[in-house]
Amino acid sequence: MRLQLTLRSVASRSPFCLAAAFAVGVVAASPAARAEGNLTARVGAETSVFQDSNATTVFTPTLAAAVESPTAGWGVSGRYLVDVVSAASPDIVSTASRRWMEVRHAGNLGLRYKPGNTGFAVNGSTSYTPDYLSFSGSGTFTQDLDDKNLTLIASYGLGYDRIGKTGTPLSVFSRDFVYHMISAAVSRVVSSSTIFTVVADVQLERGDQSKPYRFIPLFSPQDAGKIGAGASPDLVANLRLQEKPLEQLPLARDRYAVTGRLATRFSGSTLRLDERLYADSWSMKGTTTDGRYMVDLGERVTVWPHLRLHYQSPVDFWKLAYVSNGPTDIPKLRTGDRELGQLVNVGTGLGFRWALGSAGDKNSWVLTATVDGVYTKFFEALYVAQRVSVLGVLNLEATF
Amino acid sequence: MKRILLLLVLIGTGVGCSHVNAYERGKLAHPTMVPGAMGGPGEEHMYSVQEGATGGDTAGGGGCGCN
Repeated sequence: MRLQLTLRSVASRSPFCLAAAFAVGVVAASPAARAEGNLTARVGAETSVFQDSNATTVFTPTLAAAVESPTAGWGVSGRYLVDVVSAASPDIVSTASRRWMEVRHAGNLGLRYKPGNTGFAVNGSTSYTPDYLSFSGSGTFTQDLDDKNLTLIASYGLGYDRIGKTGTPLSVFSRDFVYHMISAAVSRVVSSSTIFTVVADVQLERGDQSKPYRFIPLFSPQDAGKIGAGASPDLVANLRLQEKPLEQLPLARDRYAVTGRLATRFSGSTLRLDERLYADSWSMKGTTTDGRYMVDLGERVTVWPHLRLHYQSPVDFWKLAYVSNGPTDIPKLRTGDRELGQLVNVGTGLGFRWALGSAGDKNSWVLTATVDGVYTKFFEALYVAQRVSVLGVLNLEATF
Repeated sequence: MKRILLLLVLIGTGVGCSHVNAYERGKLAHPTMVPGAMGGPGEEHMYSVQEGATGGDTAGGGGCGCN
């Protein structure tokens, strides 16, 4: 009751207050939620802060809770997060727009039941910003074989997004965007210390996902050659033609990924390696390598370096400078989304895990902190040739 | 594609793998051996925005011996 009153009193103030009150309330109320018998309850609060060299800042408080019965095999979990985004990137400056701030609310709920070797799970999630509404749901089937030395996983998910414009009701302007997510995974116990997993993902996207705010500068054939990677907003403004159409992406995208994941445990450390290969119907190809070497410093503390490398080729309609021969000659497909161009990300970071529980149950309270930095090189993009970003995450989780 | 299928067949049939009994899975149950991706929601969100690729988030299996 106390928690409900607290939430109600602050809900009208701001999402920050609501999230903070909920986080404090969940942690404070957790002893009351201590599960009896064979039930396990888990609550967690996470806060992350992102900052990049393009003047984008994201603050994300997250709350998570789960109740499960390890013996009966069922579990319920939920998560709620708020993204507070503030941006004044060169793209915004180039369109003479001011710094903006946006708040996104997102939540998901999951149910799972796996009493033996066969299991089912369903998940639903939603997110909301004034100009973007998203719903998705998925179902997962799991089958253990060979005395749980082999696990097969298959899942299907369906997502539906409504893309709108801030200040314009969705009933006046919106685009529908639908996507199907299909995954199959095989996980194999290789030895008493190693697990290897392969995941295959297919995502089929249908609808217009073009950004309704993103204008694409066009250039005459003579001036297009004068535009180099990282061209300044002033140079682009001086050379571009008067026509400035909105972004237009293809209306369908089929995306495929295969990921291999190796986790191996040594006497006092764990090595985790992920490799993902990606390709899609827009001709983008990519490779992502992620590795962590987690070293135990005593019984309670684990630290790890983190390395992540990502390279991708551009989509087939990507142009540094789109060419037009006049007002009626507008390229059919056009984008200014740098993440659709050729780029390489080099990321490195550090992680820290501290088990704070009592001597007999050290992992009942766990504090985790990570800091990751990413350097991005954009090979052919306007305004920005490189970017540096930093993400800091602090997570506290309690199990009862 | 053929290589991927071959890899899946090898994994599925357990070629090169040893049969591990439940009582031998102490290392597999360590907190750092969780089957899914290690990154939390903040980290996953950052990479989903900064990378044009997607996929690989599906959790692994019950190798730790748990449900």
